[in-house]
Amino acid sequence: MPAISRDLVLGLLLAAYSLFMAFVGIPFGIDSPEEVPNPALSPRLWPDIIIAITAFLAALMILRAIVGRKNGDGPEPAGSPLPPVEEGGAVDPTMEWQGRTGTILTLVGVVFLLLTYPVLNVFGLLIGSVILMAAFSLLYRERQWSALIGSAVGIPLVCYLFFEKVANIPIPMGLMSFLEG
Amino acid sequence: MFEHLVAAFGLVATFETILALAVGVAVGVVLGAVPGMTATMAVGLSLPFTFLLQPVTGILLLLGVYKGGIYGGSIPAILIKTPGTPASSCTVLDGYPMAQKGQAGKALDMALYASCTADFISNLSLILFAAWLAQIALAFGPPEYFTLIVFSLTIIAGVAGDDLVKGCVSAALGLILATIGLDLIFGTDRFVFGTTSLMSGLNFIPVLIGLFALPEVIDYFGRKASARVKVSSVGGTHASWADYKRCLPTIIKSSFIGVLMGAIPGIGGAPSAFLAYSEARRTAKNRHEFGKGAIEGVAASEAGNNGVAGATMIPLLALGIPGDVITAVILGAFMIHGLQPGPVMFQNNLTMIYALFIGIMASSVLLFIIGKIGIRLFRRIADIPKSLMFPMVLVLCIFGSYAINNSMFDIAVMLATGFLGYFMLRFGIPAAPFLIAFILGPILENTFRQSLLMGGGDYTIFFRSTINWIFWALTVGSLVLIIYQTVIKRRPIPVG
Repeated sequence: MPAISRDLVLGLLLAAYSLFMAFVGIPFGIDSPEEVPNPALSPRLWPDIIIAITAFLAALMILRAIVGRKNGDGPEPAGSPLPPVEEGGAVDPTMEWQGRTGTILTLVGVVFLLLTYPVLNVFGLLIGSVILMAAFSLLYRERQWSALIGSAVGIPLVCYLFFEKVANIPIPMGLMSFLEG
Repeated sequence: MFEHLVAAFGLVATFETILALAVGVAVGVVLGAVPGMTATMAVGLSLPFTFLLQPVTGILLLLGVYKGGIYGGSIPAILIKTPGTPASSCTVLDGYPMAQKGQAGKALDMALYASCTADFISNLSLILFAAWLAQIALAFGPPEYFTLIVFSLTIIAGVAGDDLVKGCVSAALGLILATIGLDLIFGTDRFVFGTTSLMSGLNFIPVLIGLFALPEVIDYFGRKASARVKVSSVGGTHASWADYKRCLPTIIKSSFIGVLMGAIPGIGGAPSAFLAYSEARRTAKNRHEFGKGAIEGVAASEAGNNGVAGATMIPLLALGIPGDVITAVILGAFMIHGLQPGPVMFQNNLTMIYALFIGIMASSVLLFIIGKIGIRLFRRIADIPKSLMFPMVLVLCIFGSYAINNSMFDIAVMLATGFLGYFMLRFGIPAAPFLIAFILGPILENTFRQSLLMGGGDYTIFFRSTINWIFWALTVGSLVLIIYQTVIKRRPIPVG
C-alpha cells in the first residue's frame, strides 16, 4: 500500500469534519428561529461561513497533497515528531524522539492523562494532584526519590495554599472533603 | 491630563504593584530560561495567579512575565546553545561562541543591557504612538472594526510557521470553537447540547493552557535527553561601560528595527532579532567576527527581540487587537479583569492607561535590577530535570484552569483542548492562529452582524467608507506579500 501523506490524511479528516458540521453539527447543534427577517440575524450565518472556509481549506489540502505527489514531492512521514517552530510553540532541541518506543510511551501517557479527570473528581484537587504528579514523574523516568516525593507533595500543596487560603477560591477535596472549611 | 497622571502614579506606586511587577519579571526570566517553555506558556500559567489582584497590578504582573520571558530566553541560548524561547534563537549565533571563549558573563551582561535599553525605547514608542492611533480609531464604527479585525487576522500568517494553509485551518478551528454558547442576538443555544456550563461559551484560559502547555507534557512522554547538557561557566568577565558604549549605536538601531517589526501585527521577536542581527553585521567593521563570538552580535539580536515587546502593545492598547500571540493572551487577561482595551479606554479610563505606561517603564528598570542580581542564579535553571518540570506544569494547568470559574468543567475543557493541541502538533498545525482566532472570533462575528444589521443585510456596507478601503487594501497587500514570500521560500535554490 502506498504511503499516505500526512497532508492528505489531514485534508480528508477536515473534509469529513466539514460535511459533518454542515449536515449534522450546525442544523442540530444551533437553535434558530423559524423565520429570520434578515440573514444577518441568523445564528447559523457565522458558523456556516466558517465551515464553508474549512471545507475550502480541506479541498486545498487534498489537492495540494495529490498534485505534490504527482510532481514527485515525497510524502511527509506520518507522525513526524518535530513540529515547525512557531511563535508561542516550544521545541526543545536537547530532547530526542525515541521512535517506536516513543509512540508507545506517548500512548501510555495519553491513557494516564485520560485518567486525570476521574482521579481529580474522586480524590479532589490536592490529593489528586499529588497522585498525578508522582505518577507522571515516574512515567517520565524520574528515579531520584527525594526530589520526586518532595515535588509531588510540595507543588500541589503550594498551589492549594495559594488558591484556597490567599485567593479564597474553594478547592474541591473529593474524598478528603472532611478537611474543608 | 495632570490629574490622571497623578492618579495613575498613585495606582502604580504601591508596594503591592511594584512587588507584583518584580515577581512577574523574575518568574518570566526563570520560565523563559527553561528550554521547552515559552513566554506564552509563562504568561498563560501565571494568569490564574492574578485573579486576586487589582486589574492594574494583575496586568502589570503579566507584562513583567512577558518582558522577563523574552530576556530569559537568552540565558540558555548563551550558556547551553539552546534558546529558551524562539525569539532568542539568534542570540545563540554569537552568545554561545563567547561562552566557549570563557566570556559567558560578558555575553549575559550585554544581553541584559541591550534588552533593557531596547525595552525602554520600545516602551517610549508605545507611549508616543498608542494615544495618537487611538484618537484615529475613535472614528471607527462596526464596519470599520470588522475590516480592521480582518486585517489583523493576517497576523495568522506571521505565526503560522511554514504552512499558511495549516495556519488558516488552525484559525478556522479556533473560530468555530468561539461560537459555542448563546447567540449574541437571539440568545439561542449554539453547540450547547443542554450543558449549562457551555452556555457562556468556553473560557479562554483553559483553552490557552490546554493548547500551549499540555501538548508539551504529552510530547515529552516519547522523548529522552539526547545528551547531558553542558552548562558553560559564567566566569569572571563582565561587559564594561566601554563595551556598552561601543555597542550602543547597534543597540539603538536594532531597537528601532524591533519597534517597527513589533508594531506590524504578526512579525514577532525571532524575525526581528535576525533582521537586526543581519543589519548589524552588514554595517559592522568587524563583520568577520560575527558568528564567532562578536559582542555586537549579542547586542543586536537581544535589542532586536526585546524592541518588539512594547511595540506589540501599540495595536493592543490603541485598537484592542493583538499584535502577536502573547498580546492575544494579554488581551484575554484584560477581558478577565473586566477591561476592554481600545480607543474607548483612552477616553473613559485614561488613569488606567497612564498607570500601565508608568508600570511598563518601571518594568525595564526592574528587568535590569533582577537580571543583574540573578545572573549567576539563573544559569542553574537549565539544570532543572524535565521529569519533574512537566508534571509541575500539569499541576499548574489543573489549578489554573479550575480557579477561573471554580469549575471542574474547565479542567475537562483544558484536557480536551490539550488532546486537540497534541493532535495539531503531530499534524504540524500551529497552535498560535487557533488562539488568536478564538479570542478575536466573537469580536469579528459581532462587528460583522452589527454591520449587516446597519446595512439592512447589504454587504456593500463593508466598502462604503475610506477607512474600510484602506483596511481592505492593507489586507490584500499583506496577503500578496505572504503568498509572494511562500512562493520564494518554495523555489528550489540553484546548485553551483
